[in-house]
Amino acid sequence: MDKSEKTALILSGVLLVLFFSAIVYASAARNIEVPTCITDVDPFLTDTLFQTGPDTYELQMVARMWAFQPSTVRLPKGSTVDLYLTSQDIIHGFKVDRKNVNLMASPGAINYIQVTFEEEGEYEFACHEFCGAAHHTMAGRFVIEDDLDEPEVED
Amino acid sequence: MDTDNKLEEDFKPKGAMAFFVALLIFFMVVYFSLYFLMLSWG
Repeated sequence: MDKSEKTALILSGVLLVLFFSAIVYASAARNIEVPTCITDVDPFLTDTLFQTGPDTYELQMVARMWAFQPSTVRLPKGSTVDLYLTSQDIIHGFKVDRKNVNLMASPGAINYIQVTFEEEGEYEFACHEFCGAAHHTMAGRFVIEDDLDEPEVED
Repeated sequence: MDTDNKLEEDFKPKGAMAFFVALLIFFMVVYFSLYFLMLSWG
């Protein structure tokens, strides 16, 4: 093999190992996880938000044509949310702006991810799977506030 | 004939090597800019 070809192959291999190591680092050291699909329990029919610890909450969210329930969630700064999402009708998407949250809302199944809101502000979310005529209106927001005593939800 | 062989042995594809290294650097910039952006999202 030509020396230049050998060098090119080695450099390409090193780059691939570097990229893969970066993914392993993000997953293991930074605890960044991918969503989990839960199929062995019956999906909930209504939305619920309740506190499970000092700064932890469980949010059960329902997607339907063409809204999320709840559409506005107010939480204190530093909250960690166990987010469970299902759909009442067809497949929807769920993407939170400026967060690594990207889920599918599937009828008959629940998708789960954990997200922590370390900074105050508004984090908008929207459906990213085309779901019909009013798909573009299917959106909502997390409002993270510093001086919030009780979490609130609005439909 | 000997001169041709000598030239072939000494030939180094400098342009192709430079292009390849630039390509690798470009891949790294694209990959790691998205990677660190997503890490900052938590």
